[in-house]
Amino acid sequence: MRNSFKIAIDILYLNRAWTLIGYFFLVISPMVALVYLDMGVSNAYRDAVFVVEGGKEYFAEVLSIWFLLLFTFFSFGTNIDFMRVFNVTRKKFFASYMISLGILSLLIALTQKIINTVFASPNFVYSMYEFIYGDYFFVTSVVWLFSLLVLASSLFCLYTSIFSGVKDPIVRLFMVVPPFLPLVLIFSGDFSSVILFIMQVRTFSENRLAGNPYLMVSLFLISATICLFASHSFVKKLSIDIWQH
Amino acid sequence: MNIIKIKDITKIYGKKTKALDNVNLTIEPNKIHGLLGRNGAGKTTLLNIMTNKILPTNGDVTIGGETVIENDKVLSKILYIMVDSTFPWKIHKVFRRMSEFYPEFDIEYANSLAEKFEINISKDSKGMSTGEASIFRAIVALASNAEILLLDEPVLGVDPNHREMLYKEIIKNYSEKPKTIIISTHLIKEVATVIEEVTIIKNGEIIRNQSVDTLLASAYAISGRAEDVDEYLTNRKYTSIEVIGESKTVIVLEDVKDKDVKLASKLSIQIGDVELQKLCMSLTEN
Amino acid sequence: MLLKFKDDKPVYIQLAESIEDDILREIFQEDTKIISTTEISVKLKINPATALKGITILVDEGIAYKKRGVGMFVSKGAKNKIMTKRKNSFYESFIQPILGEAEKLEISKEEIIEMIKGGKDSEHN
Repeated sequence: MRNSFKIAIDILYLNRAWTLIGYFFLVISPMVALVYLDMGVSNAYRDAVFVVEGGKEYFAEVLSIWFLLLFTFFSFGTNIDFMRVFNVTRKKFFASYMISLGILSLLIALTQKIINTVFASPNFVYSMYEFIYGDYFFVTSVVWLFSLLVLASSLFCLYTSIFSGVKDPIVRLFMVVPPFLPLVLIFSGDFSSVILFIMQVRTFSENRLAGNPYLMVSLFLISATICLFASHSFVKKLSIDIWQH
Repeated sequence: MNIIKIKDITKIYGKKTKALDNVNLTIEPNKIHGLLGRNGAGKTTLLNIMTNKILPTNGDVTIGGETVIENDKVLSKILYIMVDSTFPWKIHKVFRRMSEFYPEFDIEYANSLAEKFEINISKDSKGMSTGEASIFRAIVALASNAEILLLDEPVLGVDPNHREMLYKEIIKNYSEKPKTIIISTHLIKEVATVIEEVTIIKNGEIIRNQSVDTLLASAYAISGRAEDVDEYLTNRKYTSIEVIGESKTVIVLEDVKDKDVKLASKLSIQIGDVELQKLCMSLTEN
Repeated sequence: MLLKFKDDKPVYIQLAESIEDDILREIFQEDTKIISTTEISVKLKINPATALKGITILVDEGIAYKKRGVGMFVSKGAKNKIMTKRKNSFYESFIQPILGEAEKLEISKEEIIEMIKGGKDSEHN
């Protein structure tokens, strides 16, 4: 019986191809562009990848969206296969899944920190936390990213469990639309609107909480936890034959 | 011990489709069991429920008294690989991964079996033919050293030579290291001598659950002239009537007693044993 | 030993009879080891419990015995025991069926005796 932490590593390893692709396009290539290409071209590339808006760049958010897709849509089939073959219970898989999201948040935050240290220019990469209090608080960054990933992934699990319980094909057709829309936006190139939406949520909540970042993060964490428990009780009923029925 | 108790298991899909209807079964440990039935009878559904892959609508499955549902500890005693499973790795890697989940997995044994069955372990497990995949699943099961093995259609797509080899390997493994093995199949003739206990499932219900010997002793075939056979059959339970010209063959669902032998002799009726496949076929006819 | 089982008798009985045949033909000699139940079950593709059941019949009839930790051995005098047993059932197992078949074909007992004495040639006499 393999423990949840080891299974979390298995999940990450299973999806290593997507991780490498994400890192290549979002981290390595802009850096390479910066070093080897003409300033204008590399700036344009960087702006496109990191969704520049009003001089601010949202690196962590971009990478988070990628990993969100990775850990929901792209990996779903592989994850189900994995559960089937190695007889992993749903609750253990869910726990391992959350651990792997934790590891991912750490990874993203770390990457951001390294980039900030290496390219210490204030114009290169901003994170929202730099914007908030001008300093880069590593731990809160990890917590925010983790809440974001957990919130979205839990919603995905919840949604999938409900979806698999619905038999009516017409209802199912309607259910596909809401999550489908942001996906279409992301892949059709209107990526920035998705990122900006996340930032608007953040800004809105910030305003409500009188600009208190810790409160905002705590709120996101709480809502992520609620979402987690809700989706877990649904995931418990998930049938491994989800695609067949 | 590792007694598997299946209690009141019902599985309903949607609003109407009853895949399993109030299944109650006790599977004794360390015997080779056959789970026999026609395609769609509910065999695979039962196996899936026994291993927490599908959750039952009602009922519970326990192993050694502990429930199987969402129970990692108990599930680590069983190995069951669904027929259309895919592994995203090369075969030798799958063996290694398996040993991480089943600590008693014998990689050397798995490799030697792979060689014996001419499976290339550096091949991708995704690109295997149906037969190769079946053999592969069986190898993983046998090498796992798990206490309970569930084999679903273990010879699906396997050529006749390898089929014989596979059954013999299962027997050898079982003989050397007793364990509970459940073979689920609709190929009854081949598996008839391999299994000790038999469970017959028909339309989601268990219609027989006993040792092969007991089951075979509970029926016999008679053959003779139609009128003589009809006379013999008065007040008896029977099934599977075959008429060829004036001659009639019937399976009688009772055990043979001396007076039956005498009566048959008087009526010039031949009495004989029924083989397992024929008996299962007649019992599972609609 | 039998490689193919027929449908007319339970497998374990056919197995016991097959081993008896081998003892009669002195393939298994007295006080030597009979093939193990594992080997039997693997070679003949039968459940080990069935193999054991067949061997147990032989043990019960004194034709074989078990040496702890070593295996199953042919008893002393096993060949004679088998011959006696089969001689006793010879009439029922072999003669009666012949008489029954002969009656169907309207062959007289004298004709049968002639056949036995002269072999197939007597038919043409």
